[in-house]
Amino acid sequence: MPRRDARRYKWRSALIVAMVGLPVLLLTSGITLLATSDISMAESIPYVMGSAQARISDNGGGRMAQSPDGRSSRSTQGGAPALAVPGFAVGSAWTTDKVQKVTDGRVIQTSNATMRVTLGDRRPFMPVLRIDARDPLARGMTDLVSGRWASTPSEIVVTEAGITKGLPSGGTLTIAGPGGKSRRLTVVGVATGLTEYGQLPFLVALPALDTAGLDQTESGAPAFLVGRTAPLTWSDVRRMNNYGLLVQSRQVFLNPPPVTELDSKVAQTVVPYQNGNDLVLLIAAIGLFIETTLLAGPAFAVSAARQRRSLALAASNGAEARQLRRYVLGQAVVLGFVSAAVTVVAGVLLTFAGLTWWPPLRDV
Amino acid sequence: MTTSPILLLDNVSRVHGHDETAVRALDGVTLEVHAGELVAVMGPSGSGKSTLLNLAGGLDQPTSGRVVVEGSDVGAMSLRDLAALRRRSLGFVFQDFNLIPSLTAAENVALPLELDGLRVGKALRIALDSLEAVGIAELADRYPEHMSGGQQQRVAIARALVGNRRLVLADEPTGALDSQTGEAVLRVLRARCDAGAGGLLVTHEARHAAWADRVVFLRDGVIVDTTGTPPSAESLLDSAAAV
Repeated sequence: MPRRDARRYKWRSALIVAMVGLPVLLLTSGITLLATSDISMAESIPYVMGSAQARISDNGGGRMAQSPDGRSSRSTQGGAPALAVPGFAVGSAWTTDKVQKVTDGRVIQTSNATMRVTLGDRRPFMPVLRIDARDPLARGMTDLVSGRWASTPSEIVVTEAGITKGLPSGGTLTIAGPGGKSRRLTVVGVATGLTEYGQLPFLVALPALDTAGLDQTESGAPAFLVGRTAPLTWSDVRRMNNYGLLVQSRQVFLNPPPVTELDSKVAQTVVPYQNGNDLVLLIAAIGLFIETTLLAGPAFAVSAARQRRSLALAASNGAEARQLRRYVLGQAVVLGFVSAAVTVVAGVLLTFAGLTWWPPLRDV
Repeated sequence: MTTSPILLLDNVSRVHGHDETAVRALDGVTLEVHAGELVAVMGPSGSGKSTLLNLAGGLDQPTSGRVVVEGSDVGAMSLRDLAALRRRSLGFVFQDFNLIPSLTAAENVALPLELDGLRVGKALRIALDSLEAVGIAELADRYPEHMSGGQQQRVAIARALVGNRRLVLADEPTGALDSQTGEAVLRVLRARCDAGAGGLLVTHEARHAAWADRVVFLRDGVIVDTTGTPPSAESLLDSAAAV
């Protein structure tokens, strides 16, 4: 009877399905977004360090301790100065040669920046991934879709995300500066890519791009990609922390050390962050459960009340109490199961479709 | 008739309330309905007709006396046994048809069989036979709202006598129908009784009671007369009142 009832009153059934399904759809989409945005350390390797063994950056201070993913760090040993690198002046800026001395690997430089470009009447800032993408160490950070990589400082590559923002896929691009200064760059290719934090760069340019006198900002200090045969282990990372370097190592990303091996205060910043996500998810789930109950509960109650007559008629034809209970519950199960199953699948598919076809959703 | 009755009410009384507020709805009623027999119950409002029907169908319990359906004492039955009795032995036909709106004619008729555990396919096949017996097999797939009152009442009769059910309890089955359709429905009911079912028909109208083999007259919960000649029903009531 529940199946026949749902079939007979399609629109009422559809309404109940929608009442149950919409919150489930929202919850599923939210969970999908959270699951896809919360990229694991192993998943983040390509855009953090490309094909390199490690990404290393100057932490700007003395000796320090860091989390395995390099997102948390703190000064240690009472702010003791960093170890000096033989052959380099104490406190000198980090260069590829200086990093090479410490890591014993091949080193290239990368950074994230923003530059002001001229697009008709507009002069917006655009995020730029600065790296020599021709180098094999950069493979994975950005991939060429068409054309070629920039080989001179007067060339630049736009990304597909940049094209959606109005950047040209060929010809020239004008980089704007203060006081009407500007420089024309040749667009030589189209690429895809992600920055260190998983955001979409709109441009890919060589680190050698001369930006003097232009409106541009560096997003953090320059970083270095290290290529070498031997992986950088957790003990290597801790050793380099003493030089004041923050290290994101492929080996550590794939096999992070236990929390007990972390600096106790750094560990405190790592664990609550993970619990925070769980808490948000729990609160969202409880909220949506209450919402579902408030919406779907009355819908089923009204449905049951409306069918009191049918239930009485079934009883006059010999239905037992358990059969009547099964009928009422059967409706809830039939419609609830259908709506939950449909909307869970729909929520996942719609979210993936949104992530694929609507890039801004990736920033949520 | 010498065979054991399908329905036996043996000195049945039903009292509602207690002490000063007690109302005696039925008082020492004895009545038999045999297979192949249609018995009409007539009487003014409040005479106890509906109470009698409810007791016969196991929807209510007598204060004293026995109600026996196909040899089983309804008063001694558990709720589960009563439900089984309604599935297997008797069916109701109400004034306002009371078909389940979300089920087709065939599904409505098959309902008691499905509730009794019969497989859906087999139940529907038996239901089709039952619809055939009341002359509306072609309406098997229609929903109640797409049928006329007369057609719905035929479906109700088919449901009341589907499978092995042999007792139909009809409460004013023509009350919501025009006279021509009402006559047609009673003709169907009569035909089903002629085919072996037993029927208890509550009606206000003497011309409908004329379809019955016997007419029982109730007043104030007491059978005041019984006759096999329905056309004299009202005159008998009058004469009973004059006593």
